[in-house]
Amino acid sequence: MLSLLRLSFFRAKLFFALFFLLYLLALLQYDIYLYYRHFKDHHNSLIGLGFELSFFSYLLMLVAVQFFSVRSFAHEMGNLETLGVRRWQYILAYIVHFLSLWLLGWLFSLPIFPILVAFSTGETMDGSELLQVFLLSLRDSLPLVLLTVGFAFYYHSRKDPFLMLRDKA
Amino acid sequence: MIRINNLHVEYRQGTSVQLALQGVSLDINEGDYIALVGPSGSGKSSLIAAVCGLVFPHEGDIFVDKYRINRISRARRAFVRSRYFSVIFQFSELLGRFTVRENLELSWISSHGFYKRGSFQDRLDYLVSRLDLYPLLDRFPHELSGGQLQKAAIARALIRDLSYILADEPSGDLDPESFLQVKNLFLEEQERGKGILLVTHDMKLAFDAKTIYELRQGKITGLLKGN
Repeated sequence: MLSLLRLSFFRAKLFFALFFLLYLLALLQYDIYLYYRHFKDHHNSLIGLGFELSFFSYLLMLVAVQFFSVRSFAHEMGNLETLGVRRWQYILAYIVHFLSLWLLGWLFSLPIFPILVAFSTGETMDGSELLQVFLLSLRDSLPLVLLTVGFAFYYHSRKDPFLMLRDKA
Repeated sequence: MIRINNLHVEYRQGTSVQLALQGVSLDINEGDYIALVGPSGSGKSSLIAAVCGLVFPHEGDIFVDKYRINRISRARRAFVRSRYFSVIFQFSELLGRFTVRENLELSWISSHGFYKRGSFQDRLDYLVSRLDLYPLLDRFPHELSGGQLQKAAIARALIRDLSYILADEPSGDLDPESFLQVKNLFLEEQERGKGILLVTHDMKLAFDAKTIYELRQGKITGLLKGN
């Protein structure tokens, strides 16, 4: 599993760059949603509702993209299993991959989010507000990524390895 | 030892049933070199897939040492593959986003569980020299020709250095020089005590085997060489 991770991180760069961007956008949207919910709710509920709607529709899209993208790993999963790699081992390796991208997205959202708030509202967030938003987004989105990616890989690897090997889609 | 006993494999698609293997029985010991020859669609690939637990038999048993392949879990079958089999597939299955060297490395690690640089390098050097693979090592599968891909797939299987080699049409895309390299490599592996099960329609490659069976319509129909 460690070898697969080590080798795999620098392959399929475009695919993983795309997911990094998708995660970054999702995290920024969630930060904004949290910001409006916890600190700005009383100011303009219409804007808050707009952010909520856009965030949840984006989240649905992200989960769907994640689910269908994972299918492109079917051939690779079948190939690894014919080599004798256990199913849980490669699923775990892929989950760690996606979680690392999500963590990278979260780290990148740290400097971008306050700039975004300052640009859109003209206000500067204080340290405790920022910390609260970031900790909440970390706590809430981690299980979601873990569950959705885990389920997608579990679902797409349920077939017989010989059939997955024939799956070139 | 591999013991195949009255093996039946069938594929169902909707209401139609295709019988791939019908009552095949065979024993393969370490040091054996057995070839099964037959036309396309005679069940050769299904036999290889069933022996290493990639296809589930409809009837019959396959024993690999103490493991009864058709009665153990998917995870256990993967474990048996990683400990006993070097499998060469008909359609050179390499991992597309890794270089040839990385493919070989993953194959080695998946069967040995850890990365012992020395042993891997020794085996790599041996195969690279035998198959003339050096210029291909840092190339990706999509950059290789059919024959080069086939040689890389053979190296990926053999680098594991396990007890049994299961080869499904390994000479399909090879030029005459590469064909000879592979033929000699198989003989060397047999001399080192590996059990080889070769399925092919190419009699030139099968000729080196100690025992040659004919497979037709999923049944062993004759012994062409050996006893």
